[in-house]
Amino acid sequence: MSGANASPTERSHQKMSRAIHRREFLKVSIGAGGGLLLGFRLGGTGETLAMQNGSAASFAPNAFVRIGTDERVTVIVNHSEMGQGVYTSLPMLLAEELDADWNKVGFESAPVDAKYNHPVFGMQMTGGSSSVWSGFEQFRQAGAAARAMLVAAAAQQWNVEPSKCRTDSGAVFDPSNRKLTYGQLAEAAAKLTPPAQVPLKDPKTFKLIGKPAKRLDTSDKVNGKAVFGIDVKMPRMLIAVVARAPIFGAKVRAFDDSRARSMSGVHRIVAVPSGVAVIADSFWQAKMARDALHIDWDEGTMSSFNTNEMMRQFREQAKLAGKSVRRDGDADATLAKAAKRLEAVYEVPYLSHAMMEPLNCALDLRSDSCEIWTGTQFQTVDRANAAKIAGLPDEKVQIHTTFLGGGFGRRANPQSDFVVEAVHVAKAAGVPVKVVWTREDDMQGGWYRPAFLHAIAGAIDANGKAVAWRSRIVGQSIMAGTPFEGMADLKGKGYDPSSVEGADDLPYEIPNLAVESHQMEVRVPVQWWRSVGHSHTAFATECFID
Amino acid sequence: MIEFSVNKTRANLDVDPSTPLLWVIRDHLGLTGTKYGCGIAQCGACTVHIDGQAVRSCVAPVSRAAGKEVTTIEGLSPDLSQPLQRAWIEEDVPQCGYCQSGQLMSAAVLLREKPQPTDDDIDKAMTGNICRCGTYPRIRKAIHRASGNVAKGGAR
Repeated sequence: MSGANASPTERSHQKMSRAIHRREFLKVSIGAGGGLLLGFRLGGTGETLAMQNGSAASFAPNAFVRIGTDERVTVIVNHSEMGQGVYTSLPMLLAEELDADWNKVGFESAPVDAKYNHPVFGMQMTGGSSSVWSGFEQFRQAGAAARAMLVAAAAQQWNVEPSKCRTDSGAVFDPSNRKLTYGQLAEAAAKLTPPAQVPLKDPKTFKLIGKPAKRLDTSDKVNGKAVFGIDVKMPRMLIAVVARAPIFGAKVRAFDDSRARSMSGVHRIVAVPSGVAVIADSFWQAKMARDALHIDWDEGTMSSFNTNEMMRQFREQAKLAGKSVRRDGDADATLAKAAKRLEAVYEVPYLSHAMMEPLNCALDLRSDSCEIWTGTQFQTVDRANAAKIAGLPDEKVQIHTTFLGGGFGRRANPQSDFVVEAVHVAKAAGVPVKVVWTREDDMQGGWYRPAFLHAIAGAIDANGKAVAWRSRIVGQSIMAGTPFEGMADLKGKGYDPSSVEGADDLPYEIPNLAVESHQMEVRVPVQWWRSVGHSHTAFATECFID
Repeated sequence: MIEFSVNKTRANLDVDPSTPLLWVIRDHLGLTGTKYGCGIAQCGACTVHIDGQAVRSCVAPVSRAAGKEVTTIEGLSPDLSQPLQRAWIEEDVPQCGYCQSGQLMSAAVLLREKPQPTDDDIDKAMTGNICRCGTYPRIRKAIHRASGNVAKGGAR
């Protein structure tokens, strides 16, 4: 049983063990300074975690690790597991410096808290292929600090110099090879003050980093136990399916639910800002009733939009000079007098992220708290957006990050669309509710990789050498209006760097190079996606080179 | 009332007989290891066995299971001992893991029918199971491992 969620029975066990654990934890952690680790959750290595957590008091020197008297080392991971392996790679970093016994290492997903913020992006999130490099020092430092405290605790007991002790595989040894395991030392170590900074290992001595290791989450992924957001269960929980606008920006004018309301299992049918939500006992009942709704949509300005016409406009736009991104030499002049000139236009369509697990979000919304279970890549943003809709302060909203059945950026939505909608639905439901998107809902739901047009012109001199390259890139910005707008310096630059990455740092040696950007306003919701700009720039530039 | 057996346990349910077996398994029986991916038998994430045959449970009405034995990923083995599960762990097959229940259930039928499959046999049998992470080479390798052909498989 892994992740922050569990079946109803398991949850009650969890609550029990949580209480026991917290008491013991407070007892052993007294004097551990800022190391108190409250609000922890369950994670795992495939064993029954309720028991695991309840059975052993822990030493929790910092927010990233807990060591039980049962020798279990639990690494609290602040990034979301969506297939890239962070529930293994980040624990490896910590276990390396801790000199832990890898067979005793497990993981837990971190709650939302500023101490779990991404060290570079300043919020809790997973994206940009950044988890391992951004956590490289962070997790090692956390492991090294814990190790130093365990060594200090052992040295105290033996009355030897800490520097004379060594550690290996979850134990401290003194010069005469006396041994105390980390579990045996946990209580004593918890009474010590965590050190501020501890020297890290020389990479030459690494035992885990850089070596193959088996993933910690495989067992639960081959026996059906891994809990993804769509699998979350709560007592009395209902399932909601939402009829969303068939056109971006359309609004519900009126709806007729007379047939849907009478269908079996249906509890409530309510208008929410994104459409009409059907709340029922089960997914299938909710979906069937959703499909039986008659909705009168105010279609809005996008009703006449079509991508062919948009691409025609993009092509026209590409005939004009755009905002200069890079200018080496004089590409225009070289192109004008070239011995041979080549031109090509590349168009890429809007793309859905198409995660295997359709979007979903489960909520237990109460008057004074909101608990969210979902596979998200954007915890800080989701919490703030959910709190706003729930009318609660941020700290009253907790997010339990489940396994993600793929993310690819879609689960890091700048407006938390799938979470915010679920808060609206939960307000109407009055009981715990899980909003589940159908595959079709997910594909039609927008926030796509934007469509782009690349118009590339090249010049070859009499010797067959490429002497000029001009690339005009036409499409929507994904950073505009998001938390990254400032960091990407959109206003200062006048273009979105993520639209041109891979094209503005072309690896070929071409003396006259011009890269220009046309940032288009289109009311199709777009956002980042895996590999970001490179997904289209690599296609266009490499095809043109060929 | 529809009566059938799930992982050797008798289930007796009062559900609309046209309800897809997938949602009965997930919502009524609470067995969430079987996944919803597409709802139209195109991705294979919902694969279960009905009387030993691989079935896309998202399009199979529960009535089709009446009187039969349904096996889900939870019933493959009680303790990860099924050779395919062991091979999946040994080859570190899953990434996000969402499709893997379906992959395993399809592979289990393949190995029963062809205990020594070739790469082509595997590709044919597994073609209806999509993996968005692209774990196909490891899936093939793990199937060979489970069949005893440890050296075979992998990327071509």
